[in-house]
Amino acid sequence: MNTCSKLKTRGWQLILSTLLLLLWQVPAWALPSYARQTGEACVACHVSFPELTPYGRLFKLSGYTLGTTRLFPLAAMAVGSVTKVANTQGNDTSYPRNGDGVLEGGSLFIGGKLNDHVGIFSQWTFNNLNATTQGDGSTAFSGHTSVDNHDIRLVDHITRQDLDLIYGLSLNNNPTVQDVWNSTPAFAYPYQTSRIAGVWGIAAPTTLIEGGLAQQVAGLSGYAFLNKQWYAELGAYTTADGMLSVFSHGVDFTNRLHGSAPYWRFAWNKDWNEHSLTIGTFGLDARVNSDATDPSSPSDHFRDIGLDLQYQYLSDPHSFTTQLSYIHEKTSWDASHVGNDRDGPNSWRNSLHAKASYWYQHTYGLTLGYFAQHGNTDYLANTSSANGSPDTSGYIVELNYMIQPNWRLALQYTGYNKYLGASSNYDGNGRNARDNNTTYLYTWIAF
Amino acid sequence: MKLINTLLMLGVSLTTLWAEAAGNPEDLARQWCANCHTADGNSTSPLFPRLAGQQQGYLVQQLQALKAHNRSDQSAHDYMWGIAETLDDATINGIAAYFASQKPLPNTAAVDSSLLSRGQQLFEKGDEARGTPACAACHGPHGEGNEYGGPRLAGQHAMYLSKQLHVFETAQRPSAVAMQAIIKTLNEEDIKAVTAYLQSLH
Ligand code: HEC
Ligand code: HEC
Repeated sequence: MNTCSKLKTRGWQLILSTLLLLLWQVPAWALPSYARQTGEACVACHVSFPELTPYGRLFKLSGYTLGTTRLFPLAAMAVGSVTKVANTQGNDTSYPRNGDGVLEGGSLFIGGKLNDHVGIFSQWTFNNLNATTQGDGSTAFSGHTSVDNHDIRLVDHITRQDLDLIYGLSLNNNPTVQDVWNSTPAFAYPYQTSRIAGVWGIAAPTTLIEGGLAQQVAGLSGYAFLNKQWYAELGAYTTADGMLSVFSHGVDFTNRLHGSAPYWRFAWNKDWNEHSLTIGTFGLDARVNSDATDPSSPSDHFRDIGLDLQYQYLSDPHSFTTQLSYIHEKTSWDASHVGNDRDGPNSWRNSLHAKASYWYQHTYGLTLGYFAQHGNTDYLANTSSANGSPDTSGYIVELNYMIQPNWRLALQYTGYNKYLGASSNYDGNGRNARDNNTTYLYTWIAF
Repeated sequence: MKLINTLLMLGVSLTTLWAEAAGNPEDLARQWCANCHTADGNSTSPLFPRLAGQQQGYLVQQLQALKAHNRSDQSAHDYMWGIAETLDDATINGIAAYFASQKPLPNTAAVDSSLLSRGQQLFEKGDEARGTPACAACHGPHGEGNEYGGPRLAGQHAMYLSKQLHVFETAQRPSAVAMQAIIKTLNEEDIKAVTAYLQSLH
């Protein structure tokens, strides 16, 4: 290990030990029961879980410290579902559990106020559909528990006649998980996606910041929200190994950061009458090892820049919300890729997401979504595509019914207009984009 | 790495602020209540009632009722119970004094102007034929409220006012004895008219 990386490790050790120290300072912190958590109802913070209201955003920015520990203690959620793909082309083994009822798994949340300046959001997830391909091509499922989203905050709030400044630090393990607007990737729509469709490999291509580093990194950022109008955040991420491995516990590395990756986020926000509008930008500059298992392998360079917009109309009984995000990614590939799994040394990708939701009495919801991913043609990288293009686009229609404020029933239909470069015969084997259309019936419960 | 160190320094310096943690009522009002009711109590979202210039005694009485779960309509339960439970008597008095001393600003949200004259008539004179007393008798000639328990209504969101008038049809605000009798004399048109008038009143 060279001096520079030793120093880096020491820096991270210092940060971690400082934060741990802060946690331990809390006298006799006991996890309150969920019954005592419901001081405020879900509707105070959520339009529908996990989409935040203006109050929910301020609650999060205040580091989950408002109120007493009762406000946000221990919680859990679970998801059961049925997923059906439009067409298996007779190849049923590639689509295990198609049309079957499954228990997807669930999460345990430890969250809330530790003291007036420190709060925590800690999610651990049990995946009941951890898939492994067997020798005969069939898929075996097992259960697997791993770390999920984490956000630990240290905050202060200064208020005077003409000044309202919330500022603090967030230690987290997924770029944008700390963000309070649902127009950035970690908490963007779709809020719930089918795990089974993921097992089938039906998914639009994504940029690095759209989950590519989730639970594989640890980052520290400093943020400030001035007069509930201007938001600024700067931070850096590093691979969650060694001292920081708790943030990647149970997760296999698919992307390993080389050094630290700067992250930024700026937004302008205005809340007036029933309206709340936010326009912002965010991004990440990351060097990623070409071999995720080898920290000394050469690195590829990703630059992701996002623009986002959110508008919410919140009233009673009607609520309407919409989010839009556009991410542009430029990648420079290390020479070892070129001619091997990349056509050229540079590539680009654009990712667009838009959605609009209408809710009646917080109970009946309709959501329409649109997504489009574009990128350069690359035969070596996009091997499943007959024309080498990653271009994928489609729409989502989702109907929601809240049986209880904490119990959702939903029907989600995802339709593909284009999949990996074409609407028909995209793979050269006669598969059409619409064959991947999925119907997803799920029920989500939090308790 | 420099960036991280700077941030860390910032974090450590933050911890020194712990000694003066929020606790005084005004800080609490500005840092917590303000997130819904706004810092000066002139909320513009009709989901959250205005508190600016509200009668101090009424604020204390309502916060105590919310804390004791005596005011039990859905929104009171969803938004205010948990919050009020965390406030001790001294804090309740302090926060009430803070919001009562804030200057109420005109409510600029649009209203249907055809409703205003009927609303004004009800507010100032009531409707003798139906047994509706003049609201002004208890809520003040300009809707500013009075110290005997009639809350300020001027500039309050019409949506909130009409929601509360419907709550008075139930027993969810048991202290509102007078209002529970008065609501029986009002029809839906009256409610629309008087709440529109009150919202525009300054
Ligand atoms: C999450 C949003 C939220 C926060 C934070 C909040 N309130 Fe409220 N408050 C409400 C809502 C919604 C109502 C209306 C309840 C109803 O319809 O019965 C309300 C009602 C009230 C009322 C009754 C008003 C009236 O005219 O009868 C008072 C008093 C009040 N709040 C005080 C406070 C104080 C003091 C705080 C801070 C300690 C606070 N609120 C924080 C949402 C909030
Ligand atoms: C006899 C006195 C009296 C009269 C007359 C009266 N009110 Fe009231 N009103 C009260 C009192 C007292 C309260 C506080 C109730 C409580 O303790 O919850 C109140 C509360 C209200 C509230 C709830 C305010 C809030 O912030 O939650 C509304 C709305 C209201 N009155 C409207 C009216 C209207 C409209 C009229 C005329 C048609 C009227 N009142 C006439 C005494 C009166």
